Amino acid sequence: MTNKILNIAEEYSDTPAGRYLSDGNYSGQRFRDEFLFPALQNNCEVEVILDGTLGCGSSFLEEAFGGLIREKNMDLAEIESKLHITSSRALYKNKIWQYLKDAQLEKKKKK
Amino acid sequence: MGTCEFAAIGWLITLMAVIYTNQKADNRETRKEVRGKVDQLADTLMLLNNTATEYYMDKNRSSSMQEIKIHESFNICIRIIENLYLADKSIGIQENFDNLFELITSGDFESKNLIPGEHNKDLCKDFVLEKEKLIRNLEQWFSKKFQK
Repeated sequence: MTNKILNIAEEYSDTPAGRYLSDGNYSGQRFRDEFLFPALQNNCEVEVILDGTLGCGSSFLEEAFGGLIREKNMDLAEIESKLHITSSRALYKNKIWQYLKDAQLEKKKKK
Repeated sequence: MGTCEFAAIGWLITLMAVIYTNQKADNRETRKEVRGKVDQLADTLMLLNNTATEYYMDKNRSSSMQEIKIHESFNICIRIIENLYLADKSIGIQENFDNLFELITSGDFESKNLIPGEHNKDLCKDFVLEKEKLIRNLEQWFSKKFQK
């Protein structure tokens, strides 16, 4: 197993936008399903770089990251041990971890 | 007390006066610099608020142009806020800013399902309220820090 760097601006889009596939080509759902989840499945550690993008909305970030727990049934502890977020905008980094924690809480409530 | 002692006390008083004046000038400079950032943040928040309101309410708006403007305004705000926090961690506006980010960029933001119009007016009111809270907290912090 290896380490993987996912640079959103270079490998996906410098204008990632929207939540679902129906919102456009560079949605959070597509990023999660085609890039992030496979990377987490196939690597020990994954570093996601958000710098270089115009910006990321909450809808994109929540679906891409929170959706790992909600839709892909991953566990927060597993994600914490594998995922590293790099962003000069601390807001994004904090938000991503908040979405992951919220999704984990929701999952626990449903059980 | 001899002439030498008088001269030494005179020099000491002059030195203290110079240090005091320099400190005052430094404080004025810092205050001016921070005031500039506070004003820039308030202006950018106003622009962000106006753009977001148009984005959610105006049926004739250009959605992609406004999405770009919204991201750009957020980027500017993030930079200024991070800069202010480097100077003083007690500002207390991060929660308001996080809320504003959620209000504006969650839900149907950048979604094909978004239909702009009057039905979004409550959401737009919430933008204004959160922005006002943020600016109030920012001004309170500024007054406390520089107008003792």
